[in-house]
Amino acid sequence: MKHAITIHRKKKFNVFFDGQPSSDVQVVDATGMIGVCPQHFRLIKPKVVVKVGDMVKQGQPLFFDKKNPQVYVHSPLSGEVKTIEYGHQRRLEKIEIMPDATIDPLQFQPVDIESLTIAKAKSMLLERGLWHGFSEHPFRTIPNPAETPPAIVVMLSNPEPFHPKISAVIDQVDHDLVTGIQVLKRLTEHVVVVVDANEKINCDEISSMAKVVRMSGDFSLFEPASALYHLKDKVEENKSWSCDWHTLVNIARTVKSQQFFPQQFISVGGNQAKDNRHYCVTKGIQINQVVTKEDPTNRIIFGGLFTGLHCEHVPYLPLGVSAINIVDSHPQPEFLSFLQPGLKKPSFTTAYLSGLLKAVNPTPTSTALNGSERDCISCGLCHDVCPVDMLPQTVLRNVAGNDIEGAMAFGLLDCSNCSVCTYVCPSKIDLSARFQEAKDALYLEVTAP
Amino acid sequence: MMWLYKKLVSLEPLFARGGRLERLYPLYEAVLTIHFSSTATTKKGAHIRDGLDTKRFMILVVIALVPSILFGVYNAGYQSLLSSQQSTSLLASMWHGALIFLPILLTSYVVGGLWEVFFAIVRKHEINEGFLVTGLLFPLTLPPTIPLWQVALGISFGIVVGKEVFGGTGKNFLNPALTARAFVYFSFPAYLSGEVWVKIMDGVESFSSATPLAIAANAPLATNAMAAIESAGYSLWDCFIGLIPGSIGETSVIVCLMGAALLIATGVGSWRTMLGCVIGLVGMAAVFNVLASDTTISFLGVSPVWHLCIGSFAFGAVFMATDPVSSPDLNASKWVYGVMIGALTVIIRVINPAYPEGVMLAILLMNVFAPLIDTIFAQRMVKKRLPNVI
Repeated sequence: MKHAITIHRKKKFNVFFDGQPSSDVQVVDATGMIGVCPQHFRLIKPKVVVKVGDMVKQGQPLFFDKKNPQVYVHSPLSGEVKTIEYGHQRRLEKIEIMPDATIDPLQFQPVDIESLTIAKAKSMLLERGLWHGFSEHPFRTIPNPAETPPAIVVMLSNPEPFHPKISAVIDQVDHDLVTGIQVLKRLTEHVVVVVDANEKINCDEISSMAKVVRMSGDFSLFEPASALYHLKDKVEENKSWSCDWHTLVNIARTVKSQQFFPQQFISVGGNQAKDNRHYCVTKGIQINQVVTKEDPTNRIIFGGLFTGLHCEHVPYLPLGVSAINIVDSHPQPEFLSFLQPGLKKPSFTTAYLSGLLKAVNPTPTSTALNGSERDCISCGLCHDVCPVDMLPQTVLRNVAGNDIEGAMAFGLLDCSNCSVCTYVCPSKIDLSARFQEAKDALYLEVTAP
Repeated sequence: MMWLYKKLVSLEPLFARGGRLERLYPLYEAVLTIHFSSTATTKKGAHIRDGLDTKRFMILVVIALVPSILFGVYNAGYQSLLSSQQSTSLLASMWHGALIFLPILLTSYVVGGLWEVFFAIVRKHEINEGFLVTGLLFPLTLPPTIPLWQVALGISFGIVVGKEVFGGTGKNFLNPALTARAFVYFSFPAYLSGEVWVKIMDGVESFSSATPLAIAANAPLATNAMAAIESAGYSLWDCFIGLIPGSIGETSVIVCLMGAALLIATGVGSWRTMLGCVIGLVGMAAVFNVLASDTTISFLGVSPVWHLCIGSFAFGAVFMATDPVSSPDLNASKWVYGVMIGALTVIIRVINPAYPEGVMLAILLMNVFAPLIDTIFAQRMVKKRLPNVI
């Protein structure tokens, strides 16, 4: 890892979107059914180990990943398994659990962090269902527990405009971050904590244990792969692991209470949401406990505006998702709209007047495609915003021509899938999704038996 | 306007898959989306998207061309009336100019549009709005005297060979408008040889005069080519303002500067390419000025300022060289591309007496080299990366 403790990036995607969540935090506990939905994990093959009607304890395994049979996902609360639903190609959609407060949570053995060896630390994290909080680069998969990470990058800042801000909850999680990093230090010597230079948090205690790097740039820099790209200086570090501060909180709370931590912090944002703020909710909570969809034409996005999941039908907060955004999804036809000066159009460039004020005036958000898909016209906008200096339009040509070697030379595997290139593309090409598909295909190829 | 929208949407089943006019769907899509913004929403990938689309991108180029069009129309009419010794009032000139320009423009749009629709239907892709620019740029590079059948042939070549055979806008490597212009130039040199540029409406013959470039190229040894141009009645100021005979949209530098300002302000045209062109032209002209002596051709002595103002350099650098598809991708390569266009323009103008104007050939030549320049710079960037391969 590079020695620098501050990294400043000039290239900036400095667009300010409307619908920011406020920084107050409200606690909402699940009152009805909860659901465990694994849509966030693309490359796992879940194998369910419970049956409908089973009584499960809080912290008891529900399913494991067939590719990594040691990695289990645990139940957030005690209760009865009501339904197990499979979707397309018998892929697990959701496990619904009716919470029952009379069943005691599973108690784990107390641990002494100082005396943990690597093997013990790993088995502790695996046993407590915390392992899937890590991801291994370059494919962003759940890491194989048999491997040792060359480094772990911990992200304390947001990869998206409306993800929960650590500064909003820092008084509640201050000690958890320290405890979490202590545990990570048992896995590898090289723990790097990345935090936005503008984030108003005090990192003195953390910096006594791990290297803290303050980065300044736009939000896409805080995608773990983007940060890793700017941090790494050895080829081995391409296989580093990363996690966000939610994982640290989960680890610390579980170590402290010896019980599975059933809550998580989320943010609710977007211009159509009513209560834009931070929440501390039960994992797998029914989302109508937190947000209401006033207008049926709005879209609920699990995750950020850029990288959020496309699974609106899921009624529960999916596993690993820490933001809900509600945006308008009913674009109206406008007569000769391309001739307007465009003060209300979302615009990164100055092709519309709003582009001149994008850093101060909130840009309106909606799911409108704002055009139709065309061939790449080589405008170069994606080069200007890419946080990993990848030349997306060149890589797109390589990927389209099935030249994966060429694409990798240009940095396909550094791509963080921040989707900012997709956002700015005037030809409406979903570059990020194409890169993701290419990487997934490559992953399946290299991991094929 | 909602009635029109409802009407258009009600027609969709006819053109949709399985409809009676299914094959004409690209035409329907083009008519609908040119009038009304798309109501499509994101289905995968980023949930929100920027407001900029290729329609806006291309229409901004068209808007940037408006000063050139208006001035070109006025100038065509003005020159025509002047040479037939009639009143050259603004209104009369505009009217006369419109009579000259509109048939050329319509021919270009109609013939080119037919090709575009034909390929869209056969190839089953959308009609690309890039054609709005190509179909407009091409007539602006033509002399007012051009016969309409040559316009039709030229735009056909430009659209078909310059663009569609490679797969349409985005996949072409040459600027289609310039390809069309080059085709006409080499096929019918009598009409585009640097002379005979004024059209008289009523009379049969056209008024003949040499363009400043032709005068400079033909200036005898050991004379001052700039003085020769001035003595032919073209002062530097005339060439800058553009009230002189020449191709319809290319004579005036000042209206091109207006277009450049809009293209740069909106980020549609690359300022790097434009500035690179100017640097290349000024640099090469300065080198030639140093080499100039009594024994060399007098065109060598033409100063950079004159080179900037005569011919169609300004139009080419602002509207042709900046075409994003045929210019290189990387910012660094755009500098090289621009500088080379500028330098080649002067070289072709001065050294090669067969071609009085070099901008078109310089840009087309550099279009061909654009991928190579990109490759060189991209390889340098790859070397700077820490390898991340499997």
